[in-house]
Amino acid sequence: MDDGRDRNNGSQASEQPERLRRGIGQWLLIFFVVGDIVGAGIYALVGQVGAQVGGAIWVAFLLALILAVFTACSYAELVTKYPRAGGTATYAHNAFKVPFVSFMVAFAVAASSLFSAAALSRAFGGDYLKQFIDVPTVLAALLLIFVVGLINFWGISESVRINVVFTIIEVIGLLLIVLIGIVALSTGSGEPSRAFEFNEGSSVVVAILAGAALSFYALIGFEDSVNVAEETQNPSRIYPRALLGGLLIAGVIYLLVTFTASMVVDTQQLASSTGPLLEVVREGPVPIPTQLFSLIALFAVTNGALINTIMASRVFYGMADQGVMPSIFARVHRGRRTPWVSIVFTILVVMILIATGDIGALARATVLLLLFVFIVVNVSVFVLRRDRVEHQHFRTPSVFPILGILVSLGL
Amino acid sequence: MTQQEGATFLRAGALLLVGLVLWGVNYLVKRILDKRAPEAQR
Repeated sequence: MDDGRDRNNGSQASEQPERLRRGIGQWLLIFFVVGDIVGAGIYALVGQVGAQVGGAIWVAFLLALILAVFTACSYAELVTKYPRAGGTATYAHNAFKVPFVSFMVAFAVAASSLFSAAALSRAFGGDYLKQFIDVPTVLAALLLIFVVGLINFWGISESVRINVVFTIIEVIGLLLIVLIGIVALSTGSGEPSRAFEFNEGSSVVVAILAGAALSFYALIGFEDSVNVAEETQNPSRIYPRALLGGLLIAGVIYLLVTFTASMVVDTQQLASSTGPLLEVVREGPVPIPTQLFSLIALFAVTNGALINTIMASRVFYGMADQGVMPSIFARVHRGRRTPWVSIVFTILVVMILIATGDIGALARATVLLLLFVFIVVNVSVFVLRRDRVEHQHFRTPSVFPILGILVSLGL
Repeated sequence: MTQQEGATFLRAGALLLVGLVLWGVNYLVKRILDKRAPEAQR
């Protein structure tokens, strides 16, 4: 079994001393995966997907979930094969040995985080915030990202305990929506048939694919778990279960939420709202204060924007530290010990992106960049099949990476 | 499908172009510094 070290020559990591403690067990890793996936995307995009598909929003999310599983299996193979290697760029480096390809993959990952932060900032400035104060969406988004940048600069340490608290709050919000769905079904106050309706005037297949492409945004985050592979106990055994289990749990929550949304709220009303789940709370049969739910949603999108800006700034810092980006991005503030140049760059780019499009447009750009990354990951699986390691590892069915590539190209 | 909207490609492409420029600048600066280093040693 895996002793935590690669014995092949394809990894430089085997020559490095053990630095991180393998403290993450199966359940904590499942929680980490669920926490990374579940969050702001579902709070912001249910209506946008409804505009693409019609009432059958859950069908688009189901397809997106199936598509995500193909690439998740590829990640599971690479992570369990190279449990000490960190991140997609490293797999690309091992597979292609071309520094420029590794750089562009890493930059695409960071760029997707920038687009995601911009999308979530716009979601913050939408209908959820209007429950408390009426300010222009772009102005609120710019102010939020400025504050997020200050927090990032101040030095936020993401401990597992805090992450658990964040996740619990976000999941509670979604479970409230599921509760509304259960009560609506049992009291007959909803319209379940609406959840099986598709937009008229366009091909159902095209509508579902378009909706799935957007729904994919709400499922991304599962790939972040590769970064903790080195801290996972017996990753060859635990990681695939946790990744696929976490993805399944998040997927089921999403299906229940989207079914409820369609059942309780008219699709046009959902589509025109920037706070679609707030419409569900407002129209639903359970008396939940709309301001309380808005607060949960605002917390979810703020947290998402913060995590994305932290990730992007650290990727830029890491690349500069490795000498593949100008060294100025590796500058660390003496007092705060944070990569201030990378943070300033990140925030300025996000501010520009906020002004370039609505939530849907920014989310689509996020997905597009990640689909490029996923293609590289799926191709890497095949390239690295020639590179054998002595320890046992997860092996995805060969058809999955092929489907992952085809689906990514298709979307 | 939805990704085929020109604006989406334009947005993503523009940001990747920024990355390309940063990579190019870094590459050129490192080459210039590498060339200067032996000259300075002489």
